[in-house]
Amino acid sequence: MIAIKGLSARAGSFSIRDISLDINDGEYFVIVGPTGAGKTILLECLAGLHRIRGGEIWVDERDVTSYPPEKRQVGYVPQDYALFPFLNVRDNITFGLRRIGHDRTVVNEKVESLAHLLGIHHLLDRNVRTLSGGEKQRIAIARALAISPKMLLLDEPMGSLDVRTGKFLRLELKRFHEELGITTVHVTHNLVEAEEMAERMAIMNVGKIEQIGTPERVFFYPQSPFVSDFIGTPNILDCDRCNDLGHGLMEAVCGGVPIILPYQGEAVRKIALLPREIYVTARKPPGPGLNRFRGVVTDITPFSSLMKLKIRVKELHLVAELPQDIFEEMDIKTGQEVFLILKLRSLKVH
Amino acid sequence: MVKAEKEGLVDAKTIRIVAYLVPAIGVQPGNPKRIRSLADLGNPGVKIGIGNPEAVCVGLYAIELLERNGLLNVVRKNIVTHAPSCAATEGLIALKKVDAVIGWEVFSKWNPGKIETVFLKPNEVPRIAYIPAAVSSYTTDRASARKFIDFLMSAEGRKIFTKWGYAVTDGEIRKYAPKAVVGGEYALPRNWNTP
Amino acid sequence: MSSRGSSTGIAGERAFKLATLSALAILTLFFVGIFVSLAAYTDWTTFFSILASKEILGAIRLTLGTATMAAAISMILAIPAAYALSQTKFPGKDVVDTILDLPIVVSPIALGAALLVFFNTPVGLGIENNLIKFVFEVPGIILAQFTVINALAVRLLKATFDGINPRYERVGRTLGYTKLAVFFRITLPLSRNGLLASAVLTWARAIGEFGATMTLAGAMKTKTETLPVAIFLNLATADVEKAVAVVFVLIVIAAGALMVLRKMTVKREVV
Repeated sequence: MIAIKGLSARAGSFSIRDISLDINDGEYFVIVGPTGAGKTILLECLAGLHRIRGGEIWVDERDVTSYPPEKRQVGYVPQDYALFPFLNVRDNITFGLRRIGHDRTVVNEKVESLAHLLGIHHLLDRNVRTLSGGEKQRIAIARALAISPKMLLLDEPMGSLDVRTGKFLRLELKRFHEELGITTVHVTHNLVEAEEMAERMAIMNVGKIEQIGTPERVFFYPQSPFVSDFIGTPNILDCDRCNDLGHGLMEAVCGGVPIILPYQGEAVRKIALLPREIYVTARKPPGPGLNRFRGVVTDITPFSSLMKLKIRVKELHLVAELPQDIFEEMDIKTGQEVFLILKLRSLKVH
Repeated sequence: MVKAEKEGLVDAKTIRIVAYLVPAIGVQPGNPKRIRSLADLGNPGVKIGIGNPEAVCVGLYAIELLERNGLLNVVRKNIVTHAPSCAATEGLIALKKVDAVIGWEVFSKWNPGKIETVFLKPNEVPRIAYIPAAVSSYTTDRASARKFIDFLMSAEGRKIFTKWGYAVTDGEIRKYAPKAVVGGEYALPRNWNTP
Repeated sequence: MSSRGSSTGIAGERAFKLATLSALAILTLFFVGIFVSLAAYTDWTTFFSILASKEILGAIRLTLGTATMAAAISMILAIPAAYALSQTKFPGKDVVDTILDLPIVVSPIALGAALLVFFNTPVGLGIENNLIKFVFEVPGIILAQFTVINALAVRLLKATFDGINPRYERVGRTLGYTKLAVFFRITLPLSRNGLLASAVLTWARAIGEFGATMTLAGAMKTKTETLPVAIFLNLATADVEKAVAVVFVLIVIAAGALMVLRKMTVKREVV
């Protein structure tokens, strides 16, 4: 287990203050927050790469606060991977092993097993400059894992990848993690990535942790205005009862409004809906009436380049967002009747 | 100047001798290495500087002086450097970089207090040098050139040279080296730089 | 005619390109012209006998030897110094930076003069009399070259170290290497091009050093006669053929050094 106790550190004029955090063995833990939250500094403190001004770091019941990085046994994957350009792929992976001075067969076995796990056999003799972003990421992870670290530290591992590669590699990363069961700390600014990867996550803002919990917990019970804002201020609907509709669908009735969603296997107590995921239209949309509701606009507030509409649907009060130009085109006024479409995919349930 | 005259670079009729230079040893003030004679230059541990014999007249005179007195092989090992000009030769003493230079008697007047002259025995001096003036064959203004030489030779011009310590007549210099030739040529021995 | 119209648009772009290319052409022609005039001046039959003379061969040997020593000493000191200057923060860093820059802009003859004066001080005399003789001696050549080129080495290496992403070193640390091991196993290999460039450039600069060498080590034929000193001595005796031959030797060495540098560094570019 990793225990961070009241940690403080500084980088220039920026600092992280009084960070306390426990990460369980084998856990996939994500630190998420906007740029400048102090996520990378926290990760570097774990790796021993950043000077600590106060507090302690314990790993497996041992105080490692004063350990230099070479004694920490951490697998560190920095932003942009930092593969050594003067070495080929194989030598990058074995860089840490060579220091320990393992004999050749041990090194080769290790490379074999990592290549197998990460699917990088075909890359071993390549020059690192010819690799794609996704390949680089896997080599960097292999290099970090080669020294059999106690934890894997990933700093924005998807940062330099295009969206599609990133999506694929998120699944891959999850698979490696499940196979290896290594405690992993993953830093990202991307909330979607965090929710998808994390068993638990910590939300950071300007040097402090705002909330720690499972993605679901954080989403349905944001503890601070910052967290609520960071996750997009969802509408949280309390559901009164559920019906199994068969064909893999179910119905949850929330505030008198029946919402159809994929069958969850258990009762749905809450549904979260992001304001930007609610479609608003002035005219009744054609087609079947699934997840389409009639409501009344009760309030209109401009919010930077968006318009926030408060809409009452039966007993529910929902907030929807519209871009300014679309709002103006639709010419919606308070008291007016509108129609809402809920996108099935964007529903979160609890 | 002899060479220049031979090669027709100057108008021979215009050659005048402006001042005379007699070779002498220059040492640091107080003569810490007790150099009294040319032979003392061969003493162990004495650092000597001369002008570059191939390019600077005072260096050429130094080699001739040593050769004529049979000291070239003894003194050569003590020569630590060659200076690129007369003034730089004198500077070696002024900057305390060597213990002695073979130069002109007049050096001691350039930097009074920083250099002392040790005169040579009159019979040791084979040749006296002089500062000549002549009109260049390539002149474009012969009249001005002549006028300048006339000025150098005038009482006023001579007074300036005297003021700075130069001998302007043959007689003044003769007392140091009665038997020496004035001017003329000396060819460097081929092996001057190697024992 | 509107100057505004011609300075915008395609015509203006062409005019600009033409102007810059002309400047480039003039500069290139200037140097080519100098080399051609040198070549035209040279009598190639005597050229090679001059090159084979004891004096010039000795000067070549002396120059290569002293410059190599000076460049080696410079690099050994400049590598850690430049790394400290690049990676460490300390009070008075600007002052140190400026002091180390001075030798680049101060005239080499001034540096030579300063060294000469230094060896008149008690400390300098102590070194001269008890350790190594520098004034008018071969070690003086090395010291003079070192004094002139060291700042250049520090400057070039600092730029190299500045350009290294600290993430490489950090990864190295987490892979089990100490700070020192990381420096040798990661920082130096990453700096390969910069190291080569500064070694070759400082070496070439040492070969061409004249002002400080002449002032400290003197210009004594066959004793402290490096190639630039040989040019000076032979011009002083109006032996122009010999001077020109040495000029050619210097040009060939410089061109060779630059070509080697280009060959060795072009292969690896920074990722």
